[in-house]
Amino acid sequence: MTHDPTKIRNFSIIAHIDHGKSTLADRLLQNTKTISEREMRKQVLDSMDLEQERGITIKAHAIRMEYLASDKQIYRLNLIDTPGHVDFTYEVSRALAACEGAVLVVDAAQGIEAQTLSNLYLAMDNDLEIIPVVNKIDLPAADPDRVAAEIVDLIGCRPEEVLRCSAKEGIGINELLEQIVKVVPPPTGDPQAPLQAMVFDSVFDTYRGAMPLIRVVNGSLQAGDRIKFFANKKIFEVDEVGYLRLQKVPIESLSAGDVGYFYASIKDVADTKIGDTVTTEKSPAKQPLEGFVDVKPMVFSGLYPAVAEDFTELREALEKLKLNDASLLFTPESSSALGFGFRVGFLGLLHMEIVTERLSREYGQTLINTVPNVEYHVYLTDGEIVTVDNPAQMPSTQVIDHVEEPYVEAQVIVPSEYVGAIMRLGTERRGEYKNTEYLSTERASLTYNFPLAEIIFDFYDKLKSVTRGYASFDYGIPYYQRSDLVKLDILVNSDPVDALSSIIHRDRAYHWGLALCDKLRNLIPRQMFEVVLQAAIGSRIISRSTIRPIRKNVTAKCYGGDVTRKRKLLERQKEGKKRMKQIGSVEIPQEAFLAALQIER
Amino acid sequence: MPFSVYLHFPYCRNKCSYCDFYKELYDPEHERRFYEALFTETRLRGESWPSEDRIITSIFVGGGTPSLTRLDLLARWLEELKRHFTVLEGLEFSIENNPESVTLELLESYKELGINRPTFGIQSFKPKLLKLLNRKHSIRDSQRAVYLTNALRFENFGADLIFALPRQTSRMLTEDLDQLIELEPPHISFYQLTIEPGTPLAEKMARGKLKPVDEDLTYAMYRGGCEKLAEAGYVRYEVSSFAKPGHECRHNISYWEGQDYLAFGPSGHSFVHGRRFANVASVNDYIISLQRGEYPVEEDESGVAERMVEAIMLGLRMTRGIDRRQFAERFGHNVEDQLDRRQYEILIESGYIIPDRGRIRLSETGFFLADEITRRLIR
Repeated sequence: MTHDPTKIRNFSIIAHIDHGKSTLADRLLQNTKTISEREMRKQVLDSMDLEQERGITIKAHAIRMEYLASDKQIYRLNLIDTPGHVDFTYEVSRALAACEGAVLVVDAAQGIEAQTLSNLYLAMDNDLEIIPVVNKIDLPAADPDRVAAEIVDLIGCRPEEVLRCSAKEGIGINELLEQIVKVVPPPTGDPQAPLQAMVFDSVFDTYRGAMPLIRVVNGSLQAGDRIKFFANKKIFEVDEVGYLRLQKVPIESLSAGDVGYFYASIKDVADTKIGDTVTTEKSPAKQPLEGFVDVKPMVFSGLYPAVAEDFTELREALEKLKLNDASLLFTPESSSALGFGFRVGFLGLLHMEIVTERLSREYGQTLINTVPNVEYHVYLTDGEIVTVDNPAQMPSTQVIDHVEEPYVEAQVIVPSEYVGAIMRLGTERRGEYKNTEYLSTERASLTYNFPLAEIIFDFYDKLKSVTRGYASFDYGIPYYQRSDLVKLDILVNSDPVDALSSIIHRDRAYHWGLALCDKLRNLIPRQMFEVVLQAAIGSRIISRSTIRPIRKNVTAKCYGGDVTRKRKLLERQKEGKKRMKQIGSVEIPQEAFLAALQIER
Repeated sequence: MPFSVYLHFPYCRNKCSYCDFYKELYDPEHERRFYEALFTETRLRGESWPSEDRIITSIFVGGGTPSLTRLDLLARWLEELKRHFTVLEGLEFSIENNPESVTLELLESYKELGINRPTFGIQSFKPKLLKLLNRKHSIRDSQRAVYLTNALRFENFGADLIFALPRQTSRMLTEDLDQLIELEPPHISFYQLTIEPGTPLAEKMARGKLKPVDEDLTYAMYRGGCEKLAEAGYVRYEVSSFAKPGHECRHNISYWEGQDYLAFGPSGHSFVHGRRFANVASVNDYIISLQRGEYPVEEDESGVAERMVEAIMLGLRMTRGIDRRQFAERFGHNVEDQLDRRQYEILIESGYIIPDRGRIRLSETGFFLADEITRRLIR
């Protein structure tokens, strides 16, 4: 049964974190009776535990609703949910590309934030119709008029076009549904043309393989079709197509304008790349849809099992995670300090946190991870270009011509009084200032280019602390730019510890070496031997500190014959120290490998 | 195999702030019921003991505060013990005392019962520190206890002194040591205060009312103390144990050398015929269990691997170290094979371990780090 494409509306909801996107989505599902009150679980769309805990959406979803509008027509509304974090900017852009419209949700108390802007720009890049909504008008601190004015300034709409809602109280939901029908254009596209469908997400099912979520742009897709992915030219036979409610609903076909899923016994989720175009083998489309990018990880970290014997288990756990997460890349590596482990590539720091947390929670892995770093492009004097994702692998300075590092364009929105603080922070983090725009007299939006390495960790915390929590921050897709970088090594009793090497801007190296040695001095417990810590660039030592040896460690009491207790205490200590890594005669605790994260810049 | 006997007397008049041994507040009626149970325990042990193997080589009465005991009941226990076992004539027989409860009559009774080695928990001569420890005796009490002991011509006795107390200075310790040495006890336990979890002292520390003692100061105190005691003619034969030659505590050595010992009373730990077990740490449960005719014990199920770790741990605490041949005879394994080889080599190279003829022992500097070294050595 094909549906009249003029009655289809494909849309997303975009918002800054905590502006109420998920609650609003829940209300839409309720008001269209897509789910019953009984099925209503708070924020149904965020189904992973981690998502519910952190209140963010990690994977995209798509859900179909039927809505009886005031014109007595039934409309098919496809809500495509987008991930709400900067690590997933590309995924967001693809989910938006699957839509014709976007609901822009802004908190009535907080106003426009950085993520509102970056998502709005992505939506505008994709030529989406925008439906502005001020949410949470029920809050005591709500100032809908001010926020509406900000929105009017930003997108140039008329003030009365800004809807006022409270998703929590169910206010303004029907008006929003009417507006979606009215404002969002129906999909165009030719159902008779060769198939072009865009993958905007893919999830993995142990029994049936990968399940890509697609937006059919032209043509149609049914079970039995042999389909081809443009990116890797692989061919599969479709065994089911359907759409999503709370569960999957299999149907005969999906045609131009539709949003849904298919199964085709795809064993490897990495074959279903986000943004890729699906066509049929029999009558293939001439070209793929625009906008596909093969996303590369941006942040890298060494993951090592705390106990060497767990290496195989860690590999198996990573392989399992990868089944459902094509963006996760890992290759085995070895470190003289940490033994055998993996260099793992992540989309960003949140992605890294999620992966390491899942490894420990779901797979019981105790990990040591090295300080995250970005990937460098190293131009050698002989003209060769090498990419370096592990500081220990940096070629020696003699053969390097120059090095490039990733930069991002970043947006910071703050109350005007904090502009000075942001400027200082920008300088500290090697930011290149671009411009400032005032959203209103009270709020400014600053644009910077930052080296990605400077913002992947603790930048956000720092930003929040210098602005008392008022700043919001977002950034785009990275590009490469030349930088004066050096490799800084740490030596423990003259042995270089590869896992502590870092790549850093030359102007910072001295301060950094000093701070790192100092931090390590506090993290490495006193031992039976004197420990000398040194920071070095090449063969030049730039700082040195020592840890004095302990001289007494012997418990007094061993009377009363309770030998068991003393033995158990000893064994517990032994077990605790097993987690330490042995460098020569020095035992280094796991925390030391993350020392760099604690350094004040 | 001949063995040692330990009796845990589980009562005190007040609880010291640092002590985590099992004890209850003293109550005469309760004490009577405890002794009834003790007699039963002794009889049960005696009746089930292998007949060829009944020689007791030392007895140690600890606690608690055994100097509070009713002596007639203690005498009855000895009778019971002697009914089932052979108590060697003139064996080392120790009992712990709080200085304030020592009287001439008490010491005379000890002599009658064959107790030949009283020890005194002097701990310090500084009123401020005694108060911190919640000890109730005075300097005079300590001095008097030793004078009386000398007057009654006890050939052997011991005194305990603690160091590394919060608020204690090096100078305070030196004065304590001088005062103790002047009393000339043949045996001195000179031991570092251990803050045991769950004690009032640990709680005070957790609440920030007391500061932990600086590691370097502790080292200086121990080292200084060892030197002072050595000058005064005391030989260190274990981490905290110092004696005039010939006055080492045989009972404690039997623990550390892995010889058999049988414990009576709540919370007593035994090591007999390769088995470790412990009595429950509750007088009431102890009594109830024995009224039913059952041993109030909890077994330690660990095996030979754990026995070897214990032998290494205890052996290294003694000045003479681990006897290689004795170890091999006892376990059928070479001691080296039970050690982390890499660490062993590092420790020898850095001079902490001396692999002597027939023995593995710690050097003088190594001795101060016995725990750390043992932890590195075991696998």
